[in-house]
Amino acid sequence: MTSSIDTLLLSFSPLNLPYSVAVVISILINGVFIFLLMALFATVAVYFERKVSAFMQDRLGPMEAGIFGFKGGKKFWGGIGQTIADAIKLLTTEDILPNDADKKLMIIAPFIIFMGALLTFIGIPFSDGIIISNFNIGVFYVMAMSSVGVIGIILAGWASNNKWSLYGAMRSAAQIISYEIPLGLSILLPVLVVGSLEIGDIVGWQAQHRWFIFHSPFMFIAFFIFFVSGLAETNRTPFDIPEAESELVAGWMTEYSGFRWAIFFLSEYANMLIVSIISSVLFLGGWLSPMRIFNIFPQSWLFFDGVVWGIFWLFTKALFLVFVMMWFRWTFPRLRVDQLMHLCWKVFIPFALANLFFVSIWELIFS
Amino acid sequence: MGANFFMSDNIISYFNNISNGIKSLISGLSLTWEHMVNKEERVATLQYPHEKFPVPEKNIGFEQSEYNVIRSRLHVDIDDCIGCLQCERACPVDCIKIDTIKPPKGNEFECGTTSNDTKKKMIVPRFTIDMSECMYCNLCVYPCPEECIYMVGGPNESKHEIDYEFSQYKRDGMIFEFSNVTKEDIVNIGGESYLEQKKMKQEKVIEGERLLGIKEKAPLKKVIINPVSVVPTTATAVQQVSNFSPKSLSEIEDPVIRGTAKKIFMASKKAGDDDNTKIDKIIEGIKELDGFTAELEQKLLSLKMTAAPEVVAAVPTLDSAIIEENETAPISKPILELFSIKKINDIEDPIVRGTLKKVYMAGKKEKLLNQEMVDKMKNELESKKLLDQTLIKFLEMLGK
Repeated sequence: MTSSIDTLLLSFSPLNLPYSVAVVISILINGVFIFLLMALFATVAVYFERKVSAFMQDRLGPMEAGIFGFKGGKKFWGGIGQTIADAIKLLTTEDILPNDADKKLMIIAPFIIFMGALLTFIGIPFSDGIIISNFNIGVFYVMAMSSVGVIGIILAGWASNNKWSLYGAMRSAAQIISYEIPLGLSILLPVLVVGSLEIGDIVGWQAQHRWFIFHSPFMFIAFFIFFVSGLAETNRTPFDIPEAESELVAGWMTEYSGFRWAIFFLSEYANMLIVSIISSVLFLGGWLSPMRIFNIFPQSWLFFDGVVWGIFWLFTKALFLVFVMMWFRWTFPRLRVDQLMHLCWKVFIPFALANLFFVSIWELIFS
Repeated sequence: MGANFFMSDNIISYFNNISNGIKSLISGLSLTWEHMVNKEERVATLQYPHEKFPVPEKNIGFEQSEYNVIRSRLHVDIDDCIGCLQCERACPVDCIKIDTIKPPKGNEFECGTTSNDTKKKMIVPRFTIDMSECMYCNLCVYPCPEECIYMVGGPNESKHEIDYEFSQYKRDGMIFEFSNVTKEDIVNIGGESYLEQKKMKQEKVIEGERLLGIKEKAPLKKVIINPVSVVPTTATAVQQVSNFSPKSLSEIEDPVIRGTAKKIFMASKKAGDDDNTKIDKIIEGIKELDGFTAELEQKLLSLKMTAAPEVVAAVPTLDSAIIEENETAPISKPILELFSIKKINDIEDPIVRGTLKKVYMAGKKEKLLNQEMVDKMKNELESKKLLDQTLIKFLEMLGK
């Protein structure tokens, strides 16, 4: 597995650039790529979210806005220009700073959240060998960086000088910190089995044996716990008590508008993609094709595997999980605060601990 | 103690809770999935401007078969209207306004026949319905002897499709003008005084607007249902500028002479004579009658004297100048209003329709007349090899 930063640095070497300049350029290229990916994903995902929700509620969703008159369809799939129009509208609306707000913190907060999402992408693979930077502690790095956002949330809630914002921020902090525990305990299982924190090693183990979701019954439960906890980390319904529009207006985003709100939005959707990619890498075989679920076919049959197909499979899995997130969102009502804590502390954490115990025994017996 | 702990109610309810949670999770997800997959049957949205909701045909009332519940708008088949004013009298809110002109004796104007073969005795130069006042009571429908006024939609759908979108940006838009009588017809039937009155009213309106300080010079626009030939209700409608009008003839006391003079006046006007010749003709015509006096002749001649210089000397004020501009235009040559572009909509082939509309708009800018327009359209279609027999027929019909 190679880092794309290293590859870029190598390709710059014939130019005889000073090392510092070359590093900055290659980092910039990668950063822009991540940003574009996030923006593209947010644009597409918002459109699909609206469509999925509409179909689940027997509506049609956006049908009118098109791109240069091309709407995409007349019957069910129309209005593909809707999110683009929304984005333009968002970027052109006034960016309001309340008088009594702590202005410095309020300006900084969305960028901290955004940086959390952006930095997480550094450790996230897109296919076999396509990763911005390959750490030997990859999973740990992703876990750590995806938790940075909570600082931004608390800052945003506090700086807004608004009771709804503060309530939302407090709830969000409580929720995210709580659900880090089952999340971490579930990630621990593949790490325990493989014996490495490196993402390439984890997928390599799955290529040799089987996808982790079929490793043992406990691993299946672990996947479920991981995915639902990830859902809670992204503050999406049914775990959207920090935003809870019927209780808290918009939670910690209440006072934000325009570009800074757009950044919150971008980060939220980026987090969705991160959770989905990490879930599919850890439990669903990452960039492996579905033919390698149990590693029973000979190597010559596996013509659907490779770097390019890897991108396709990884994103297919991730986008399916994103769809499941939308499916959850438009099916379940919001949890109460006590139910949320009950689910985390009384259900997920005991089960995750039991999983850890049983998987350890499983490994002792079967390997 | 161990067995007791694992079998305790707390633990059992804990696991029951979890299994219930998972079950309800699955049932909830399957419910939304079902809705999402069966969107073909289930989606309830009607995309309004593109699709329209059919108005339910439901009858309530005393006699189900006759009682028309769907009253979306009043419509008048003006070709069948005989101007009997029954509907105007029936209307409890006076939203129907009808003017009629009866041809005077001796005038051979053909008013036409209705579809029931009733001979019309008068023309209807004005038939306006103010739908903003209408209360949809349907009372005007029953007295009509020719059954030409009816509510659109419902049981009348065979006559007129349901049309429930008639919202307007201005209140004036709700006044629907149904009459298709041209100014030409009014002149022919001897309705000069009617046009006079209209002109006076229009002048009053303009004067009122000037006094109020309303800058807008454009007169009230009315929605014209029957756009074939527009009744000029506005400043353009008013009579030719002339110092010599039938009004000055009204001063004559003797009714016989007055009538004859007016008749001659109309005839000479039709012939397109100018004022002086008109007066000469009138004098010639009434000379042989009993009540003719030298005084009268002097009077008429004095009219003749003033006629010429006044036209030249008339220094138009701002408002009257506009009126004159509008007035002086047609009369001398026959007015042939250009047929409406909506007529082209009858053609089904979209390519032909588009081509014709383009030609129409270009021709309208050049102020072409009907026949020239049709010729142009024919040429255009021929060059594109779209012309066939039915189209030629259709275009010739438009030309008339």
